[in-house]
Amino acid sequence: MWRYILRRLLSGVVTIWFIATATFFAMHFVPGDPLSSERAMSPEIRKNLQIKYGLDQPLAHQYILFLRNMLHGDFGISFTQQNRRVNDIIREHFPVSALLGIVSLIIATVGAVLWGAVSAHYRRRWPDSAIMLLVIVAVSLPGFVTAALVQWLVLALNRQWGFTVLPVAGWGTWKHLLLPAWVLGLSTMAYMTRLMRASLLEVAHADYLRTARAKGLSAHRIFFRHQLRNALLPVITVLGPAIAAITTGGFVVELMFAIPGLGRYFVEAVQQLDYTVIMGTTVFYGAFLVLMVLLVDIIYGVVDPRIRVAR
Amino acid sequence: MSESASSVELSNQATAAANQLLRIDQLTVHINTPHGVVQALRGIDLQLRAGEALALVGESGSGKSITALSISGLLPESAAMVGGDIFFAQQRVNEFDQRAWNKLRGSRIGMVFQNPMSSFNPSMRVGDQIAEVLRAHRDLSKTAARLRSVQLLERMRIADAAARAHQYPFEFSGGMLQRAMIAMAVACEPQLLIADEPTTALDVTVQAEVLDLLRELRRDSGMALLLITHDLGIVAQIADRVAVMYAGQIIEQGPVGALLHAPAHPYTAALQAAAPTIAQDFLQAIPGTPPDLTNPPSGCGFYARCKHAMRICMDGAVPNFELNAQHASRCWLLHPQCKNSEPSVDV
Amino acid sequence: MNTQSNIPAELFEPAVARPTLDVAVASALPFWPALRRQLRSDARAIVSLLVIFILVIAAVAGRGLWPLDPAQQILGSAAQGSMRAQRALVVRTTIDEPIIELSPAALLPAPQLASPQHLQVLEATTERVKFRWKLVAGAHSYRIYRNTHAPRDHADLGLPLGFTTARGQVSFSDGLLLRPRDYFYSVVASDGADEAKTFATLTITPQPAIGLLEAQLQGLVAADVHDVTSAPQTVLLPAHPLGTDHLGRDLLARLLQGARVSLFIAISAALLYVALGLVYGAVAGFAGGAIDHWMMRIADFVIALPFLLFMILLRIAFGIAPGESGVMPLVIALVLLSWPSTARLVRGQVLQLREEPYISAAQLAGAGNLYIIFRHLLPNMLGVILVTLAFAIPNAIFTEAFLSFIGMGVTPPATSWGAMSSDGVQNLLIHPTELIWPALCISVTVLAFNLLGDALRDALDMKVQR
Ligand SMILES: Nc1ncnc2c1ncn2[C@@H]1O[C@H](COP(=O)(O)OP(=O)(O)O)[C@@H](O)[C@H]1O
Ligand code: SF4
Ligand SMILES: [Mg+2]
Repeated sequence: MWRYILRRLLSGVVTIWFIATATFFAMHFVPGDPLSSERAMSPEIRKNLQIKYGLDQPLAHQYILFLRNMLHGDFGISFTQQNRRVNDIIREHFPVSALLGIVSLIIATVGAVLWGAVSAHYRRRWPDSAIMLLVIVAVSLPGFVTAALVQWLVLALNRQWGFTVLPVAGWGTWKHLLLPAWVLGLSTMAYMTRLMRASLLEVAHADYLRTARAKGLSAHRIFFRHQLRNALLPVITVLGPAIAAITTGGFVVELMFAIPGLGRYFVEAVQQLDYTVIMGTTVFYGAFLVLMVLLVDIIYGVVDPRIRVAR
Repeated sequence: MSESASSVELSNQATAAANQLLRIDQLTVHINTPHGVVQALRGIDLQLRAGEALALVGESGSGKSITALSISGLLPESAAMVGGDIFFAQQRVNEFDQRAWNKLRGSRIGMVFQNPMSSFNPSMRVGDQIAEVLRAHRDLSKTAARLRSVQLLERMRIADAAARAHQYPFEFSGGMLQRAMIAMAVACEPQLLIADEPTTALDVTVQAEVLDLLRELRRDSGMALLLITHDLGIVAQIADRVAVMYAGQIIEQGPVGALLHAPAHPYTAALQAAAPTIAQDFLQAIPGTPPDLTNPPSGCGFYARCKHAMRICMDGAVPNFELNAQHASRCWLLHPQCKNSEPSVDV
Repeated sequence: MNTQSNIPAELFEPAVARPTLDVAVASALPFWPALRRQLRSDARAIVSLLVIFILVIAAVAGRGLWPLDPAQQILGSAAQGSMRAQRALVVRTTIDEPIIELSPAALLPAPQLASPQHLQVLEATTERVKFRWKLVAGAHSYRIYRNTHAPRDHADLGLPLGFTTARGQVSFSDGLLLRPRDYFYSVVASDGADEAKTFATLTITPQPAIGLLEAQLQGLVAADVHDVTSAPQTVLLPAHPLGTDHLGRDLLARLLQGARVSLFIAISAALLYVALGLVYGAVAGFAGGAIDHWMMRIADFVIALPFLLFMILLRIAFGIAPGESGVMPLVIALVLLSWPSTARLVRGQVLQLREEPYISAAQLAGAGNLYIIFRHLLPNMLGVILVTLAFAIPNAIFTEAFLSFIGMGVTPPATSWGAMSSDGVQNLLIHPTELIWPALCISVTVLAFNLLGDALRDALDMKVQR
């Protein structure tokens, strides 16, 4: 098991290096010199930046400088916000995104297990059809559409009832968290509900479930110990992609709900072509996602004895 | 017949009724499929005395597993018992609810399935899976159940049982897992053990071990055994009586010696002839295929493949002819008017 | 049992005409007819194919279907709901001159402000509504409200439009998003500190109108016309079945243009990357050994890149030359980042198929690799490829929408459903249809392709099972 984790960690490091390299070269090929854009920039910042990034140096040199800075966890200084270090931006705003992401992942997973179980239980009857219809509608709605519709509805509700049932924008209290977290988790929940249902139905036909029934166990025990437990395994494997979807989905949701998360800053940096912030956050997000996928793999290994013992 | 002889016979019959563990009358099961309703069982009659070993043989698809699943109330959702009765220990199980079934299954009826690898929960320790059945039916503490499951594994001649109990199914070999499965099935000392092709998925060398184990268990505990197989070699080793199934019917039933040495039905004879050459899969050895059970023939199901087929054979259901009190067969060849009354082995 | 001897003896004679042994297995249909038959019995497939067909036709026909220019801005009719074609009066918009009525009475403070009297309509077109009233003694200024129903009480006057600014001003003109419908204007006098509790209401139904300059811009009126007061003329304004956006552009025309762009990006990117993945995977799987190993390593690395982040990055890297729409960079970025999953899938299939006896037989018979790939491997993978394609298209549509939404996709003057949604979100509260239509288009298209993918997968699964 430990060897396995070590090997995965190593390959994770290589992947992060690859992401950093790809980021560097993608940004390097941006037409024109990033510093020569018409952005308002005081001469001394420009000078500092040129020295810091060695923009007058040959490409190989710049690349090594870039890697060295990354290795030291130094993502540089924002191009557009004077004297603001990218590290500070990340440190300040990532926790907000992380909280939002964790809550929506929990909503998505718990919801998916519940809905999937209901759907599988009522297979081919109306609750199943209704849930499956909602699922396919939910996966067909882009995040910003869901966000806009929900804001619109809740706003109308607030107006109708004459008080703020739930705030539709902003950040600060747990009430501010509910709508964006739900919106952000919705398509993941829908996707995982489908998977959960399929997985439960597949397990329902497994030989070992017949064995469990032949043992005279209670329906409760059969469902939780035998069916649900095994059906959950495939759902764990999609947690990696789910985290990626929620992370990138957060860009739009943070923007629309006016949440001061890193995603919103990233989008704003992209719109303003703030190169250091773009590069820093891309590498940061890349590393974060690689680590998450690694974590999910390890969790899967712990939960599934076939993998835990075999490795 | 003299007076005394008939009274002996009567008393025999009385004990037989008292000893009777399982009785199936005219069991009819239909299965809904996208291609129509499969008439999987078409009027099965079967009796099993306490401690008796009955072998149920027949080609794949003849309805053996469906019979076994009916007895334990485990028919798939798509299947329904549309006729007949099943009595287990004088109790009619037809209207059993889930609670009643759960009292019976695992406790008074143990089951062993064909594929041990897929019949164990892959994410649960083998010992826990055995302990689970003990805790469901016996008032045992967790530790006591664990201890007992290790003892059971030892009894099944699994080396290093304590460590093995702590392992997961995928760490076991097929034969070892099947023995663990048997341990699970007999953990609560059932009156009836149903083993559905317990050795089919195993290597030939391992098959013998499992069979030895089953024989030994039966000798020690006196439980009845319903052994499902398509290997007549196994039947001879272990069974008291044999029932041969074909296309959802029992077409011949009798004591193992009589049935194997003097088969009364051409199909049994064909099985006999096919068995030694291809032990595993004699399906190819009898030319032709069984009838389509969504639309079964009104006459003899074996008609299309039978060398002795007569005009009467398609003339409605074939009666069950009794050769003697123990031996019966559904074949017109046994009719006294039929001149060719010896079903020969050459098919 | 049944031993009564009344059966005719001839029945025990051997049967003569026995049915032949049924050994023949129903022969399998070839791929396309089998698939067609499966799909035809699947409601999902029929509906989704129909929807996709309509969408593609609409996108291709474009302005042939609805001739309005999607880029033409008509500020006079911005953010309108559904509109039929209508005659409109051409009016010349002049600077509004307020009517001032100064009298000593107005200057004296009054203990109680009366409600305004003698409300009178002066102009009533959708370009401008103007009305006046009689001076109220002691009033410092007047606040004007507009509602779409008759106000029930003082709290129900509706939208506060503004207040009069000049001393003694007794008229008000309103040009805020007027439509040809009933409006209820209320005037409330104010003594500078407090508003009176009394009000007077006037009902006005503006007549459809268009400004002269606007009409000339649209080519509805000749450029040399200056006087429309003495010789009034009307023009026919085009219909807007779905209304207009916040810049007064026809939504239907824009939706059609957006359909063309969105579907082009999605379909071409999906086709290209599935094709690329197919070739790549087939080559890797067929070559095997070190080539396969390294090719798959490369694919693994590309898969490891966080997809949307790198879409953004590549999109920035490709930049946008002036006058470009950003469509091609999007397609290229999509292809560059999406091919590896198809390549993996195809490679797996090839490895599996290679073991099939008929392939080795063909190889033994001396068939060339290309022949084997095209004659045996590709036809066998058709099903998998179709399903991949069906799911690739909605993914590409989503990606395009996401990027356009954050301003990194299609740029003006071109538009796409994603870019339209982005505009729509900005104006959601005042004009929700501007979001609803493009969002509905995206959702319906994605839904249709998802359903088609599901139906295809089920149909092919069933074929495998048989
Ligand atoms: N789950 C099922 N769904 C549909 N048909 C089934 C199912 N299980 C069994 N059958 C049908 O019922 C008949 C008897 O099956 P089975 O009892 O499993 O045969 P055996 O155990 O003798 O091989 C076969 O014709 C088979 O096709
Ligand atoms: S009944 Fe007729 S067809 Fe059937 S097995 Fe006997 S002889 Fe053959
Ligand atoms: Mg079976």
